[in-house]
Amino acid sequence: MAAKKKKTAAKSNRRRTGNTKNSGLISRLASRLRFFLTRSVLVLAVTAFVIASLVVLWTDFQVRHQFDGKRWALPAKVYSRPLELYPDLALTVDELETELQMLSYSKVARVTKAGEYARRGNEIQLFSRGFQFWDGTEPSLQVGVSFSQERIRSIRQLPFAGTDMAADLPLALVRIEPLVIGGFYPNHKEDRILVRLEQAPDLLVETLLTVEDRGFFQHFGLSIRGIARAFLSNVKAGKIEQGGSTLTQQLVKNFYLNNERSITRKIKEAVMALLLEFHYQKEEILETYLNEVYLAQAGNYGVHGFGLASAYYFGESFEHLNVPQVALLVGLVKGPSYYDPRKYPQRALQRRNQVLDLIHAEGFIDEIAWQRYRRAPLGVVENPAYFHYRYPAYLDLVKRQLKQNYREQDIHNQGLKIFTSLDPRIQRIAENQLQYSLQQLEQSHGESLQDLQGAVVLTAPQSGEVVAMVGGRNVRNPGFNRALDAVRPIGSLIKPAIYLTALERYGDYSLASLISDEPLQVPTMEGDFWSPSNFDNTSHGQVTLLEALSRSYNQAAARIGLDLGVDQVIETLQRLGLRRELPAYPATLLGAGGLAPVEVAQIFQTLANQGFQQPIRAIREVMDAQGNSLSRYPYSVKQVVDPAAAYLINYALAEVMQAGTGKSVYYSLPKQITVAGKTGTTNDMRDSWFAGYSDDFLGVVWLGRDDNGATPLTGSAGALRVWRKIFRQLDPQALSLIKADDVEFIWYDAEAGKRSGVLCDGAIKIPMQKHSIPDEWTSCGQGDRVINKVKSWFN
Amino acid sequence: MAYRIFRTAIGLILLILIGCAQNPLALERVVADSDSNVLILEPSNEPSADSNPSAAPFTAIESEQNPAVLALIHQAERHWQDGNIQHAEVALERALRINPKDLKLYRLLAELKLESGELQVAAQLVRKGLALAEKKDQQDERERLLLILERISALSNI
Repeated sequence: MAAKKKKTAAKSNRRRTGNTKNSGLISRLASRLRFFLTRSVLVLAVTAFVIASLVVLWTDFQVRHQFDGKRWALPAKVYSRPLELYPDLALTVDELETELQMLSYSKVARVTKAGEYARRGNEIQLFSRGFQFWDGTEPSLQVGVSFSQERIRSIRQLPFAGTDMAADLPLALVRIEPLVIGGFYPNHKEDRILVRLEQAPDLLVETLLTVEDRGFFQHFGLSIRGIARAFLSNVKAGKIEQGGSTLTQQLVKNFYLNNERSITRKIKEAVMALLLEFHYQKEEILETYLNEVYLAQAGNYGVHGFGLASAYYFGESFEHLNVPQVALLVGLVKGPSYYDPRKYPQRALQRRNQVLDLIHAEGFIDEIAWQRYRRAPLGVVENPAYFHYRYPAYLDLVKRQLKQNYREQDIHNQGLKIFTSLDPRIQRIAENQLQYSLQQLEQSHGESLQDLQGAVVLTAPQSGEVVAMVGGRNVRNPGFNRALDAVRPIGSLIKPAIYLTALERYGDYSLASLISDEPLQVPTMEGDFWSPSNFDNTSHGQVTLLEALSRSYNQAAARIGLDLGVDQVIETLQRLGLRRELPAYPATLLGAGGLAPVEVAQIFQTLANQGFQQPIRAIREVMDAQGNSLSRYPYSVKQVVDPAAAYLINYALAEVMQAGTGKSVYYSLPKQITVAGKTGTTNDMRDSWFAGYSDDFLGVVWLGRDDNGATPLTGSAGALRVWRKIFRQLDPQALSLIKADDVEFIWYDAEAGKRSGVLCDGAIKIPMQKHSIPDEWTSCGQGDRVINKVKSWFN
Repeated sequence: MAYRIFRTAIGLILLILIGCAQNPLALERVVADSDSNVLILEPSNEPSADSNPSAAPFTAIESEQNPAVLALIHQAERHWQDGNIQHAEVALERALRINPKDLKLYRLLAELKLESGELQVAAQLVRKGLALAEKKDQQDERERLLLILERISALSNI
């Protein structure tokens, strides 16, 4: 029994010891597990904290970096020429009205503020907006402009409220603000006009905060109350109806983030909002919001900020917004597309009035004003004075010229203001006439003429400024710019350079010199012959230089060009402004070399400017975003052609239009309007060219097919037709050539090579440089010789 | 009798000479509103400008110009007096766009370029002006242009 008890006790002991051993093990295990878990949690917590801190630090860096530094990449704005009004300017009342409409001036019965005009018959009263130009600020003025016979008769400054003017003052000159014709945009395709908080009109800030974020000045970036209110509202509605975002959060979303709806993005937005509020003042955040908020879509470009939205919707500057306009813009914040006043005017009106109700309830406007504002129309202008890329060919030229002095990134991001010489009225004429003429030509020629393309370059010859440019029949297409890049053989357009080279050699050539228009064969380097023929496949024997140019005889031109030397003709072209190299082959004398229309314009520009070369240019001045002057492209001229030769070649080119290949111009222009020019046609009529000028305009027109296919169009039948239709609408001034001192008009017998008399057979009256005038007279001309002698005694 | 006729003729001649010495017309002039760039036309009784070719650039501006051109010339003169040559040039270039064949505008622009030390540019502007001088009543302006060319030539040889 004792042994049994001992056994049992031992067994118990062993069990107890075992249990004790087991429980000790378990507790040790548990302890270790606890330790392990605790340590893991601590490690995880520390790691999470470190990661979170790094994320916050990185986010903080992003927030401050973008906010402190250049906050926005601002697009460059390109302006047209400003319209300058003065007495006797050739301008009709309709043309002025069109210009004002393009500038989004509102037509009213009675003018009371800037940006309005009224028309009474032949008078327009307008209130200009004023503008900061390169050379100073043009004030905002109320003026009356009266017209008579398609010219301005008088301009007067009108008295208006707040001035001490007793009566009208006659004005010598008024400069209207220029039209924005386009811009060069950053990659993100946003556009804005920067504004300062202090420029904000009355009630804008109060209205914005009332509608979007009442507690803006109290919260720290997030509004718990706002979130809660939105939550309750959404639960009640059963859908997401309200957001609880503060203005700060909205700014963060637009400025830094995207529209993605996710928890991660919301958390990031919240953190960023807190950081923004931590680092910056409320006023800074508010001002940034005013410039960032998305308010419209204009084609491919986003309209951001109240500054630009004011111009886009109302044609107004930000500072001059009235209460209903403020209400509409603030109302748009919730949904610019949904409440687009141009597409959904009723919705926009309801939303605006909703905002007006809110600010009335807050006591910001009184009862009478509230009622009046609710009844007011939206006041949105039909066409914003704000054209993205309306004139792509011209903008292309502007950009290429800018790139000579500015980096690409600066052009797109620095908010440059670029003032050009584009004339919207002339541009419109050029576009319309090119499109119309191309259609007409295709219709009249049927299948033999399809897919016709064209280009037009128009300049002011006395300054070299480009006033219009069209790059193709699809005038709004920013694609291939034929005016700058269609390098095509120029045909007979080269002939003026040949004959100018000759005329500069007074002793050898004059307009009356006889040259041979007979077949010729010129050996080529390939071992065969070049045999030019005339357009009518007829040779004309001995012809005067004047006749050879006027009728564009190829054989005569080739002969005289070879006599002078192809390299000499090319040198003349270079003096006239050509930069492209042309091969010194005989075929170059008949225009086998290719040039773009703008290059042709440069050459003829020098002829039109009577031998003075001026680089063709589109830009006048450039300012930075703050209105500081950066660069100017001043008037620059260089005499490159002898004055007598310049006069003689212009005389001959006028003859082309009077009696030569260009005479069809007078189907459109009055006969008394003297113009000068040259037609050009290439082989198989693949290219139809015309370059011509009056006293005030130079125009180059090219027509052809992009695939270089043949057409039935000579220079006269094609390009000249477009040219004359354009010039008819321009109402040009007659070309007035100023005779050089050493040029004299004489009666001349070309066949005899002698001076002749007014009544002699075969005599022509022709200008000649004095060294070209022969000493010998025909027998018939002896009487005139005596008269000349007597006259010389009195000079 | 003959003596009487002779005396009458002398008297008439004297009257004509006296008449020519008077300022013939009350001409318009342009004044600038001092607070703004507004350019106003008003009548003037001032004598016509001095035609001494060697005077400072903005003298010798006849008043029968296009008022807008005259306004811009006055504006250019103001800028020039303020030492702002570039703005003076801009005003003259604006005037050239209105009247591109006005000799005096080339002369004034040439003077400004000369003042800025741009001799070659000034010379070319003078040549352009000379190329436009055609009428007999432009001889004074032509002489002024030639004088500028002489000055440029003298400066180039220094």
